[in-house]
Parts: sequence; structure tokens; C-alpha cells
Amino acid sequence: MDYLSVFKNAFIPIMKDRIYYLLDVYTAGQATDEEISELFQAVRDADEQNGFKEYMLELWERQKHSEDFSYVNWPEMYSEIMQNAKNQSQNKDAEYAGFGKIRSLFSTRTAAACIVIIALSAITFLLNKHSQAPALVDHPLLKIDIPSPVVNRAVLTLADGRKIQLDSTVNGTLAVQGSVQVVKQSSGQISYAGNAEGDVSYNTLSVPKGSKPMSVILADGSKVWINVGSTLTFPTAFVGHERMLQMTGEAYFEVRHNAEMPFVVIANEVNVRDLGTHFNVNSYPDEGATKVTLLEGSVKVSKGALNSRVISPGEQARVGADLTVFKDVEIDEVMAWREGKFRFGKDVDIENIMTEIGRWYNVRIVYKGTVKQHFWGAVSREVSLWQVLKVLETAGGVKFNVEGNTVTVMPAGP
Amino acid sequence: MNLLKSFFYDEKELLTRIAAGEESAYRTFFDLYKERFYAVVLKMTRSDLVAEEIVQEVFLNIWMKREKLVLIENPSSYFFTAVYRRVYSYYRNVAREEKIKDVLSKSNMCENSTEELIFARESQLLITTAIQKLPSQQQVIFKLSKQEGLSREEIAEQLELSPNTVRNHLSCAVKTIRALLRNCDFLFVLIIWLIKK
Repeated sequence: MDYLSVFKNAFIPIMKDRIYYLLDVYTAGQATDEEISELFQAVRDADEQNGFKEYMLELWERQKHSEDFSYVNWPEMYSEIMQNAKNQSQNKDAEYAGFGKIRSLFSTRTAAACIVIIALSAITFLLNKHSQAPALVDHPLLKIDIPSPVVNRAVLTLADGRKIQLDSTVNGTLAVQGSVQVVKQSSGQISYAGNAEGDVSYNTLSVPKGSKPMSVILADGSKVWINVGSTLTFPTAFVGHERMLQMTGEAYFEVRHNAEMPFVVIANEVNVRDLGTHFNVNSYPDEGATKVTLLEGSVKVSKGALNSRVISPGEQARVGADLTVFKDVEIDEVMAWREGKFRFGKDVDIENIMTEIGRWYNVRIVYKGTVKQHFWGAVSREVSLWQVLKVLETAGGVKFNVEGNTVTVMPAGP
Repeated sequence: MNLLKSFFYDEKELLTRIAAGEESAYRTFFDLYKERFYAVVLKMTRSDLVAEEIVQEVFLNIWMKREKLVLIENPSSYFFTAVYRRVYSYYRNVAREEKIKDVLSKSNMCENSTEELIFARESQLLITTAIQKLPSQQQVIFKLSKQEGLSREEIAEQLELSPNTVRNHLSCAVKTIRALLRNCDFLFVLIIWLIKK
């Protein structure tokens, strides 16, 4: 045994860059014989090769889903998996019953080698369990899969123009405006408390695309959930005859009723006047009409010279050039964003779905060809972009390609 | 033609249903992940047959240990680790196999330990025995591929078959040998020798 070479390998571990290089040429099929033997020498010499896991994780993260693997016989693979699973459990049952198979094929030496290898993989496994997957987010190629938003990127603009980034602030009092206190709670929600003095002052909460939605408790105890790509402008405390708020995008309101001081939401020139109630307003400019959906109580919806309408729970007012009321809308679908889901009913086409996906992951959507397929169903918003797209592809009729921040939507064969 | 397709997916819910033994949920999971697993393994191993083997193993393992799925906090990283471990152990085995080749080629010298020599000879014996049990056409194709080192295209030309048929025969041969040598993880090293390009 050459002790010098043992020392060399033990004390001068191969550099990560070198492993990356070797794996690059090897996986591309361009490695020379020397490089191949260097790679495997390195794999052989270390229990856990520095850089190997990271290299593979990058492949995993940036994996595109446009490659064609239809040559693999997937149904056959699946039935073999199930068959093997059945065999394995039967073997296990048989062993429990005392009819363990005699493995005559193997010598005792082989069995001993097995034990060593199993022990080694157990150790590797234990080591793996403790090592966290390294963060590789700044790698340019990794942006192809986009995780579900994990932080709040909401910005609060105070009456004096100061802007507060809500994700970077600690919990507790964020600002004192007059006698009104703004507090960030441990849940991430912000709340207003205090009485108005003098003039009404307004704050604006903006929740950008690619952020998590945000909720706020207003000075009157009413609660508002603000969806991504939306803003809400509201008084820090309420005075006068009305509680007037302005919004863009989408928000859901649970209003603390006060007959003396009606609650009025203005969205895209549409006026929603609450008569004590829970309602959702969707006024994204890319969705056409402003939609007001009532869950509880009643609201009066109006816009300019159009006749106003009072709607009841389960009804939705759609206000564009005119004002139409739809009965028995799917509340689950309208409120899916609050439940952390994408949910679409049967009359929804791919454009509607992609608009919401684009907003949530903050990606641009382009179309190549026409997707005739309609989709219905639900997907959790907590999964990555890639997973959502994969679910749709698996449903059929559509294919996606992701480059940077752009998702291309294409029709797929039957 | 049905223009309406449905999709339902909540990863936690899906995993919970698999953990409860619901096979249709597992099938959905298989369809969602198979290409991702395969793409990564194919890239790393440069062999479609090895990649199929490994992907199949990973899926089998996930199903056999399905009760654990409810405990997973980060599914993507859990499944990555499952794939990673198989690929890494493949690399380890290839590395070991290179060493065995080395041992065999120098076996007339006495530098190498007896243990390594016995290990190497046992491996060879097991493989040879297994190959002899293959149906004749598989055996021919297999030998051309491994012993003569011919490419699939060359074999196809020689035997007047389509390259795809050759691929299927090789794939069957590997599966047969694998089934014969099933009972120990350690034999994976032999399988690699069988399917490596």
C-alpha cells in the first residue's frame, strides 16, 4: 500500500471547482480517459464528495420540462414498480411468518461485504440528514424554477411619505402618526389603533406580484386581506360620515358594521357601499370587469351614472361598461386566493389561469399557438412554478417552456 | 374530443393520500415527477437504461416507505435527496467497478489483497452465470454490446434489427439479470457493469 498517496488524498481534498469541471465534461460525454479516472478516483476517495451534491442540486433546480422522454415506457415502469412492491411486501410477510428465503447464491464473504456497504450507506444517510441543502438562489440558471412566494414584500406608505418595507421590520410598533399606532404583529399582520385628531391622514399598503398576500386590521376593527399585485389606501383613523377606502387589484373585506358611518370601497370607479358585511373585490385591470362578490350581509354597488344594485350573499356584481349581477357564483373559486389555492371552474380558459399564475410567481406569460383546452381544478399556491405547470401539463393539451422570467404557453398534442 | 381537462394538486394532500396507501394518488405523483427524476439521472449517468433503473428504484422506495411522506417538510428537497443518494451510490459503484477491472487486469501480480481478488472473481462468476440464463437473442445482443463493445446502431445493423429493438432487448436482459441477482444491494455494482455504455 502506498501510504503517501493515502495521505495525499486525505489531506488535499479535490477542489469543488475541479469536481464541477469533471462532472461537466463527463456528463457532456467529453471527458478524456484521464479525466474520467480522476473523477472516479475522487468519488472513491471521499465519503461524500465535495461539490457533487451541489452540482446535482443545480441540475435538479434548473431542470427544464421541455425534453421529450416519450421513448421511455412509463406505463411499463409503473406496473413494474407496483409488481416489485407487491413482491417485496410478500417477502417481508413471509419472513415475518418464519419462512425467510435462504440466499444460497451468496457466499458468507459476499454477505459480509453487503453488511459493510449497508452500514456505509446508513452513515452517508445520517450525514445527509444533517446537512441542509445549500442555498443556490443566486445562480443565474436556477431562476428557471420559481418557488412559491415565501416573504412579504409589502410596502406601507405613511401619510408623510415615508415607506416601510414590511418584511424587514421587526414585530412591534412600526410608526406613530398623531395618536394612531401602527403595529406589526407576530403573524405578520399589521393593525391600526387610536383615535383621529384633526384631519384624516391616509396610508397605502402595496403588495407587489411575487409577494405573499397581506392582511391589515383597520382602526375600526374591520379586517382586509390584500392579494398580490394590489394596493389599498385607507385612513389611519376614521372621522366624518363615511369610512372611505380606495383600492386596486384584489382585496377581501370583513367589515365591522357601523350604521352611523358606512364603509365605502372605491375600486376602478366602482363604489361598494357596505351595509355590514364580508365581500371580495377583484378589479385587476387585466381581468376586464370589476367583480364584487358577497359572502355575507349586503352591499350596494354603483358606478357613475349606472343604476346601483344591492346584492345578496352568493351574488356577484360585474361592473364594466354596465353593471350585471350573477347569482350563485362559486364562492370557493372567488375566495381560493385566501385559502392559498389556485382554483378554477369549468368555464375558465388557459389565459385566466396563466394570468393568476403570472401574478403569483411574478412571471411574464406569452403564448405560442392557441390552446383550445379548458381546465378546471385546484392547485396549492405553496408549490413552485414548475410544479404548477407540471400539473397542468399532466392534465394534458398544454405545454410550457420557462426561460428566465417568461413562461411560454403552447398547445400539446393529444 | 373532450376539451375539458381537470387538475387537482395540493402537494401535502397528495402525499397524505399516498401515505394512506391510495394508489391513484401515487400514480399522479409518478406522472408528475417521473420526467424530472429521469432528466437529472439521465444527465448524470449518461445512460438511458441506468437512468430507468435508478428512477424505478427511487419510485419503488418512495412507495415502500410511503408512511413517511406525511412527515416531510420540504418535499422537493426530500425527493432530491432520494434521487441524489441513488446517483451517488451509482458513482461509487462505478468507481469500485473501475477498481475491480484494475484488480482483474493485474491479478497475476500479488500486490493486491486476496480479498479484493476474491470479490472481483465472485463478481465475474455471478455475471457469467446470469448471462447464460438469458434467452438466446438477448444473450447475443448483450455480448455484442458488452464484450465486443458495439454501439446499439452497430448491433442493429449487424443483426438487421431496429436500434429500438436492440434497446428493448438490452433493457430486458438487464432486467432479467437484475431479477436473478436481486437480493443484495451490493450486486448493484454488477448491474452497472452490465448496463454501462
